Amino acid sequence: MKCEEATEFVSALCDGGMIPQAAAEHIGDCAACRTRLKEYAEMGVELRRVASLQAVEETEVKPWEQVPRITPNWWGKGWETMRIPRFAFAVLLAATIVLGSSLVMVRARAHTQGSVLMLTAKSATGHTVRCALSLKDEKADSCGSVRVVNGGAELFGFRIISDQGDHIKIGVRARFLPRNPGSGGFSSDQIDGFPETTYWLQVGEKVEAKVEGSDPMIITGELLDHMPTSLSVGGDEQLDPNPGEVRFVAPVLVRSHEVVSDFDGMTVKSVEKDHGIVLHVPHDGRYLVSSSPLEGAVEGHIKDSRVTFELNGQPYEFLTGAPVAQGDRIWILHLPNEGNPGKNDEHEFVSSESMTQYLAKPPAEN
Amino acid sequence: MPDDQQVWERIHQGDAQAFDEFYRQNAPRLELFLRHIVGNPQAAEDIMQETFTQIWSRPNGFQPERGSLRAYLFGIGRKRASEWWRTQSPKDPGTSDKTVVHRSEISPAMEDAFRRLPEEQRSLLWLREVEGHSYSELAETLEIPVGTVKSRLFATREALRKIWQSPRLPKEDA
Repeated sequence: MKCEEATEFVSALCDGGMIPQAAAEHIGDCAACRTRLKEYAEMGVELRRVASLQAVEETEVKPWEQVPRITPNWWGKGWETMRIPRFAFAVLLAATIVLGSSLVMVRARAHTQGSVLMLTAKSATGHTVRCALSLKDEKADSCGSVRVVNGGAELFGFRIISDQGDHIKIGVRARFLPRNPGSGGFSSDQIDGFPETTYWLQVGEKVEAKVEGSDPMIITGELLDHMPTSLSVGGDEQLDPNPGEVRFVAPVLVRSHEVVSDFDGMTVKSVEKDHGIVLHVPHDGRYLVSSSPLEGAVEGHIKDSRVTFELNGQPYEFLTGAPVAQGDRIWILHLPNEGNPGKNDEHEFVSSESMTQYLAKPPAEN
Repeated sequence: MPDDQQVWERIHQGDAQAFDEFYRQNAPRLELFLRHIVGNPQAAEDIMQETFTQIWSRPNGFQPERGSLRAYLFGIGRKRASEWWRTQSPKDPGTSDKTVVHRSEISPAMEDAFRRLPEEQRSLLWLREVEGHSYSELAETLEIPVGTVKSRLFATREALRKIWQSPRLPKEDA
């Protein structure tokens, strides 16, 4: 084993865990790794010493100011003052969608309990967005969508505010943004500052919701007793991929049998010629997946909902929730964060991009 | 000592005394953690109070089967700290790193190095090394897989080591 392979296990050793025998042998014999182990341990000790010196005494802490736990009545809910938070999805998705891409992305975390509102929004351009929103799990009560259309992009965000049986109060942020030459493209971050409008949605009935910069969209909803598994987006629920289509449904990236990144609830598909899928892995970089060869890419193999490939001598797998493509060959290009440190480096996200355009741009713009 | 489930059931039922006890046990550590994440004692105190207010006001959020109460508490605190950061402009005087508590009194090299890490890395390392959170608690708090926790801990330690050992740390302003 080499130092670069053993160093991650040095960290695990610091955490009190067992490590593979080969790593343990290497660390025992390698002066550099032992030095690193010592330094990691010293850093932990020093941090705890700092914390001990700065410890906030109980007497210093502001006493808890008891606030009454209020359950607002129906009328109260209708008139309550509401603090408008950022959409959770905007935090989770820092996706930048380049001009010309055809990305469609819906974020709704999987969960296991509670009633679910399946919200369907049809925009004036005829596109449909479907979001499954939990009425009970606040971690799954919002979703967002960015779709590039002719002349610009439609950016939508939805969240559950409250519910009274089949009468559900939702918050909607929606805007059409025209394409401006020279701009960097469209990003879910842009929705962050949109004003939120609230609507009462009666299950089975239509609500007309305003879309800034465009005609209104029509929202409908139905209640489900579970969070459905979405195979794709845009209303297309075919299990088999279409010809030329590459599709990743909630992929998980595994390296050497260890999960590197979990794109829980994220679905993306690439349908246009020259397009591929970009998966951003925090602190690692981007993985470009294309049905045609890319310069510098490695060839992978598709077996139903599994893509296997090898990078730098290590086995990798993308495990997804549905078949990936009709063919059995695929190309993967790994672009580390070098040259673009810290860029969107907090959360996983996926997008569909023109590979030619994506690779032509400097890293800082991707 | 009551376990998480028992504490939570009492809080859920509106037992103010149970909540007060929970607050007194956890507020000091949460506030210290937040001071290191936001670098502003006043903001840290506000966020700490907001965190407990959220837990008291919306007692349906904790699911014992998903993780510990401690991980849940720090997870909310960290999210609120992240929201606070997003509302700050880069040059907002209220967010100045210079407000980190007691910095000049103790271990300036480590504190300075630690402060240079990104917020997410500071959270991760603090919760692991100071709070002693397990991998699964970190995964719950940070909403990432356990495998990612391990790799990020390694990356964070390596980043801190490089900064800490750097012979050219710029001299701090008085």
